[in-house]
Amino acid sequence: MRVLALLLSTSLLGACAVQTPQPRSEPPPVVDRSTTVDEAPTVTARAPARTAPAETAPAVQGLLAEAMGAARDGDLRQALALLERAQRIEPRNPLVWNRLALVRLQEGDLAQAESLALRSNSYAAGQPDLQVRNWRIIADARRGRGDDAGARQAEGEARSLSADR
Amino acid sequence: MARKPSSSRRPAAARKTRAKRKPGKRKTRGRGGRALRRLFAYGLLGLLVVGAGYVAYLDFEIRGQFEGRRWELPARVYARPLELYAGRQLTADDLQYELKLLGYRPVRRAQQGGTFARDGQTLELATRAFQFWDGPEQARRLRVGFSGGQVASLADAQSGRDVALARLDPVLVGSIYPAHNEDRILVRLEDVPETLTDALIAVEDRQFYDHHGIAPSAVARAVWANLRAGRTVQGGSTITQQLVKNFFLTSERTLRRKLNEAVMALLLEWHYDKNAILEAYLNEVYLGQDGRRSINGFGLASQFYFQRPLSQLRAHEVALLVGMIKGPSYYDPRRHPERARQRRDLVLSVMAEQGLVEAPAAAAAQRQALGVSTTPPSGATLYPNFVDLVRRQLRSEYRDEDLSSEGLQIFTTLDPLMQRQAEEAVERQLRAIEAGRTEQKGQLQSAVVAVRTGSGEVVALVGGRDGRYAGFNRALDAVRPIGSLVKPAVYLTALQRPQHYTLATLLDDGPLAVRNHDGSLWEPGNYDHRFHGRVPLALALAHSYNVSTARLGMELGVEQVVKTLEGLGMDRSVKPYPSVLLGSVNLSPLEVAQLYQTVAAGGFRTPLRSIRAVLDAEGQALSSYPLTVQRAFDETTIHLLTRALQLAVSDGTGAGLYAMVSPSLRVAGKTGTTDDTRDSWFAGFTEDYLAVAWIGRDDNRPTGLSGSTGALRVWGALAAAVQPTPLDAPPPGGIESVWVDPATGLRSEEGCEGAVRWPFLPGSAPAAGAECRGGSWLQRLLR
Repeated sequence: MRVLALLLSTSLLGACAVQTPQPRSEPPPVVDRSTTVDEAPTVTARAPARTAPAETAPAVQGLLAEAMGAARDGDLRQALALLERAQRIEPRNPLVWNRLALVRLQEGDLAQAESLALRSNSYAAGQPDLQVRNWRIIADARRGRGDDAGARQAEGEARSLSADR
Repeated sequence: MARKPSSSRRPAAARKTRAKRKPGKRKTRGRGGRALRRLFAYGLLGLLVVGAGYVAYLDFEIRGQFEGRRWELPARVYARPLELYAGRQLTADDLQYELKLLGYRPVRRAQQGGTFARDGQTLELATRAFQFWDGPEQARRLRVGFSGGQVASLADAQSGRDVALARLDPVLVGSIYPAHNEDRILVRLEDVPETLTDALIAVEDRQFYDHHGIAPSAVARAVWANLRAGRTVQGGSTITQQLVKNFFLTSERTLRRKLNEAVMALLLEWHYDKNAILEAYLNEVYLGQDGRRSINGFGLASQFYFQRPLSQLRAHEVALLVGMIKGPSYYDPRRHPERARQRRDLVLSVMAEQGLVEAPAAAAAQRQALGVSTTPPSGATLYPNFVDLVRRQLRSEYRDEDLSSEGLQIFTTLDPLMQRQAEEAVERQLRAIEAGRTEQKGQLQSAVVAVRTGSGEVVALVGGRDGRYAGFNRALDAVRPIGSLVKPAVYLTALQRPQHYTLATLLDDGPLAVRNHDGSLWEPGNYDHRFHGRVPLALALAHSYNVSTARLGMELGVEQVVKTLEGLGMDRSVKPYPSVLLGSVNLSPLEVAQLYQTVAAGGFRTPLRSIRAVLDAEGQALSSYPLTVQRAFDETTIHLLTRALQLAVSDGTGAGLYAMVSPSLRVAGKTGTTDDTRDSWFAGFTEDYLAVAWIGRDDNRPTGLSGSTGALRVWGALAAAVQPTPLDAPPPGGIESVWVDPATGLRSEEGCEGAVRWPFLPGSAPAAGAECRGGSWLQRLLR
C-alpha cells in the first residue's frame, strides 16, 4: 500500500488535482516525491496545470472536471462512469484517456493504468506535456508491479520528452 | 381522505372461521344419548383441529404470496441514453425517432415532461428526469437546433443560455419476465396520486378503512342485487378480497373458493396494515393483457395506456384506470372506447358525488377524450437479439430467477438509431439481392454486429432478417468459416517483423503445394483461378490472393498466425492446420467483430461489451462494466495493416463499396467468401465504428454470393445511412511515409508512374530506387 501511495503521488504530481481516497487504517498518500511516506498526510490539490487542449469540447471539459471531483472524493466508480461518457463524446481525446489511466492508478489497477496511459499516448502526437505525464503513470504502474527495469525505461521516455522542450 | 392505518389486530379471522365451521345449532335427537354425544364431541374436536390446520395452511399460503410475490419484478433493459451536445452528429429526424421510441408526445409548446415541438430544424423538448447509474439527470426544457447533420446549438428553452451537455431518459428496450409473464412497474403508496386511491376506494370498497377484510353488509347488498337480477350483477368483494383473488389468478366462482378468499382476506388484515394492503393491491391488480403479457398494477397500466408515469395522470385518466378494474378486457379503451368512456364518466360522477373532485371539474373531465395512446408500448422487446446478448452476458453473474424477479435495471450499450439502420440495411439489401435470383428467394439470412471502436461497445446487433423476432440469433450462434477475414492475422504476423516484411515486400503468388500431416497435398488456388507472380504484400492482402497468403503463412508458421488470432481476441482453440491460413476457422459474427475491434482500436484489445451498469430496484449499483484496454499489438504495426485494409477497399476486393459511400470515409475493410459461396462476409471500420456483416443460408447451401457481392452491400448500406467519421486520423509517431513503386517494391518518387505513398516503420522503407517511369514531378516540370 505504501508503495502504491508513493507511486500515486508521483503521477498525481504531473496530472493536476486528483486526490487519492483516504484508506481508513493506512497512512494516506502524500503528494510530493521528495517527501517520505511517513510524513504528514496533507494532500495538496494543485491548480490544474496545462488544462484541456483547446479542442476539448465544453461538454467534455465539464465531464472531466466532474470526474476529477468525484475522484478527489474517492468515488472512483463515478469518476470512471463520467470519463467513459467523455470518451464516447471524444473517443480520440488523449486527455480523457490520461484521466482514465489516473483514476485506474488511484484505484490500484496498475495494469489498466499502464494500458490506458499507452492508449492516451497513441493519440497524443504533438502533445509532449501529456506524453510525459502518461510515461510517469506508466513508470509508476510498472514499479508498482515490480517491473523496475520497465519503470526506468518509462522514466527515461518521460525525461527525454521533457528535455526535448 | 386520510389514510388510516389498521387499528384492529384481533385474531378475528381465526375465531370467525371456527364459528362458521361449528355445527353448533343442531340438536341431539332420540335416546342414543351419551355415546352419540361423545361421538359428536370427538367429531367436533376433529373438525376443529382440521379447521385450524386448514386455516394455518391458508395463512401460510397468503403470507407467502403477500411477502414474496408482490416484489417480483421483471428486469428492465434500457438502451444507451441519447446525449445531446453541440457538434454531435445527429439529424432532427434522428432525434424525433428517438423521442417517438421514448413516447414523447408532439405538442405545440413543450412544457410538460415528455413532450416536444418541432419547427423545421429546431426541436424544443421538455425532458423527463431520470436516475442513471452515475447520478440523476434533471428534467429540463431544451431547444436543439440542427444544421448539416449535426446538433448546431443546444440551449435552455427558457433562459436561452447554452447548455454544454444534456441527456435524455433511456429507451426501454425490453424486460426479462418471470415464467408466468406478469409485468408490472412497482409504485409506492406515497407516489400514487391521492385522487387515484380515493377514487379507487370510492368505487371499489367504501368501507376499506373500516372493515376487517370482508364487509358483510356489502356482501348482503350484492347477494340481494344478484338474487333480484337472477344472475351475478354485483360483487361484494372488498379490496382485500380482490387482492387475494388476484394473488391466485383464478376466476373460479365456487363457494369454496369464495370462502377461502374470505378467510385469507381476514388473515391478511390481521397480519398487515391497511396501507400495505392498499399498496400491494395497487401493484397487483390486473388491468389488461398484451399478448402473453399481463398488465398488472397501476404503474404499468399508466405506461401501457398513456405512456406516462402514474404521477402525471389527470383526473379523467385516473378515472378510466379505476373504472377498468371491473373488467379490463370488457372496458378495454383501445378495443371498446365507447364502453370505456361510459365507465370512466360513471367513475367521475362517483368521484364528484363523494367530493373528490369539484362538480365542474368532473364535468370538464367527462368532456375529455380518453387520451389513450393508439398503440400500446410493446412489452415484447423490439430487439430480442440484442437482449439475448445482454442475457447471456448477465447469466454468468446472475441467476435466472434474479434476472426476472428482482426488478434489476440493466443499462446497455444499444443505440436504437444505429440498430434501426442496421435492420433496414439487412432487409433492403437481402431483398435487392434476392430480386435477381428466384432460387434464393426468402432463403438468404444475414447478421450484423456494429461496435464503437474506442470502447468496444456493441451498438447494434441483427441476428437475422426478421430482427424483431426472437429465434436463431445468427450474430451469436451462426458459427461459420470466416474465409479471407482471417488474412489480416497472417499479414499482421508478418508486419510484426519489420526487418523482413513491409507493405512493399514482394510476395510470391506462384503455384504452391504443401504436404499435410496425413500425407495429402494441399494446393491452394486463387479466387480468379490465376497466379499473380510477385505481388507487394499490401496488394496481396488487398486483392485477397490465397496462394501468396498461404505461402507467407507457411513461412511465418501457422502456430504464429494462430497466436496472432488469439492476441486479437479469439477465444477458441484452433488446431494449427495450414487451411487455417485461408480461413477454415469457424467463428460467429460477434467473435469476428472482437478480432477486428482490436485492429480498429490501434492494437488495444477491449472486450466487447453490451452492458454499462446493472442497478437493483432501489437504484443501487450492483455491477458496472468499466472500459478496459490491453495493448496487444504495437499501434505502428496496426497502422500498416490498417493501410493495407484501406487499399483492400479502395483498390482491392472491396472496391464496390465506394459506389455506396464516399471514398472520403477511407474505410479499412476485408471481404470474405467461403467454399462454394456458402458464406459471404465483410468486416470494416472507420474512425468511430466497426461493423461485421454476414450473409448465408441456414441450411448452409451455396448462396452464389462472394463477400463483395453480398455482405459488403449490407455493410455499405449501413455506413451510407450512419455516415461515420472518416478514418483519416494522423498516423502514430514513428511512422514514415515513403513513395514506392508497387510493381517492384522499390523506392520511388512522387509523380513517377504508378508510384504510391505507403507507411513504413523507421528504417524499414526500401532504400534502392526504382526506375522512374513517366519521370518525377521535377523532371516533368523541367521538360
